[in-house]
Amino acid sequence: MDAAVDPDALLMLAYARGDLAAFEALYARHRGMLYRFLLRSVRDPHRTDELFQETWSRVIGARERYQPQAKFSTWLLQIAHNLMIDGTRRQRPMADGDEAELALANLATPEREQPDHALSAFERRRNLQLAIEQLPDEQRTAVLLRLEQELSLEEIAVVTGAGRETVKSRLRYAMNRLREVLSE
Amino acid sequence: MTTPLPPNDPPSADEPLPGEAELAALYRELPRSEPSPALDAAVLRAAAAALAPSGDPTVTERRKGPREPGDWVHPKPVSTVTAKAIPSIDGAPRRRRAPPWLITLGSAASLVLVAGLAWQLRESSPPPSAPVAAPEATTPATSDMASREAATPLAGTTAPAAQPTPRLADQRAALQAAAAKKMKQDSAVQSARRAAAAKPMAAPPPLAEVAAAAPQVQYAPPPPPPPPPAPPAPPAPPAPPQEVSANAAASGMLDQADQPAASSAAAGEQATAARPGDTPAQELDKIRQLFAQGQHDEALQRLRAFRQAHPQWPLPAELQAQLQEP
Repeated sequence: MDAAVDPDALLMLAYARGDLAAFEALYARHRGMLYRFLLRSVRDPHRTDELFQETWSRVIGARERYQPQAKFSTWLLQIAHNLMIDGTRRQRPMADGDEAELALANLATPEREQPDHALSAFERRRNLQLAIEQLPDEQRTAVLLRLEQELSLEEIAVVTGAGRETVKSRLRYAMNRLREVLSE
Repeated sequence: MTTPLPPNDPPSADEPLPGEAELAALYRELPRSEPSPALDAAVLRAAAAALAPSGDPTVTERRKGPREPGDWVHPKPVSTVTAKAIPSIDGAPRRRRAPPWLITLGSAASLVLVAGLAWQLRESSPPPSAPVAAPEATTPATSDMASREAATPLAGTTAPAAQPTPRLADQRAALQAAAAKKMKQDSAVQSARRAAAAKPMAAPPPLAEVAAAAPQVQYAPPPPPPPPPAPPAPPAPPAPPQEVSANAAASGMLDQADQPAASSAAAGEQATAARPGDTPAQELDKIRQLFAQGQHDEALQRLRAFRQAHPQWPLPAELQAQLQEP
């Protein structure tokens, strides 16, 4: 029934018909997810802004051609991933480790954290961030899509254009590496 | 709704990977970064602009330089872009008109230039009598001036046209005077030639007296031949008799008076040579010239031959004396 229909696809169709409020709702639902995925993938705030804007620009431009054959989030991440890959092929310099670390460290810290264990939690997050950054691009993308977006193997395969087993293998290697770093 | 929509099933039941739950929990504790408000506003503004009326579609302006954080490219209506891309006629830069004083000055300069060129061309062009007078001018100074003027015909064109120099006026006057003088000389020579042709027997006074004593019927002089074609004049004798000078002048020797002296010797021999067409008077003149030049033997031989050819021709006294000498 309608409950099984992707609400994001409905919003996108409504926007294609001229409903600006539908787009605002759609944007509010995916803005943070998309931004974090891009930021942790490219590790460059400026480049993240560019990719973020370009991704939404593609969505706006394709509103009349949109066919809800997959989840909207999958389609949105696929656009962002392709743009990111194109940028990588142009060999645009990425931010080095220090700059990426500074960019990620300046992010807002959850208020729920208590001062007494903030140091240990900060160290764990920092180690996790460094471990994710050191992963190969394909493994990092798969991990981010899995942990951030909670996508299935099939959905990750759709976004990245790889096979399901390939995605599963990449996730296994990536998570083993992350556990090793956190256990050190 | 006719558009097929994808199912909104929960994530597929993939078996969790080893340690995935722990990593997911830790990942959710990472700072949850969000796009900046400016970025949000820019995206929403672009989405709103895309829904503009179809009669005023929008285009996305692409960036050429580095982008700043939160700097969104604002779509602009096509009509606005087109209006900027197509310059209006009123906005087109017009050609600046030259100031009036510049036009006036240019016109005046052109007129002065044309007038100067015309004046110089008129000044440099020789007068109708100049071509005759210049090469035959007898005055050396005039000839030199004429030659200089002829050698530099364009020199005057470079001079200021509105300032005719006094030198140029003097040259013109000299040329005209030379031409007039030459015309007078030519007319005098031609009149002398006509007189000599009309009176070929204009003998010197002694010869005329002898002719008057002789009977007129015994002598019928042949018609005067045309004047010789300007034979080179012999060099003037040291003390030529009055008759010789008169005859030489009558025979057109004045035209050759100013011939170079280098050719005078050869010209003298040619002038005294016997010609079958010579009249008796001319033969006698040549015999006199031979005596005057010291060629006594040849003169005496030709005098005897003349006497045999013309036994009735009265000989002048000096020639008669030469003939009677042993």
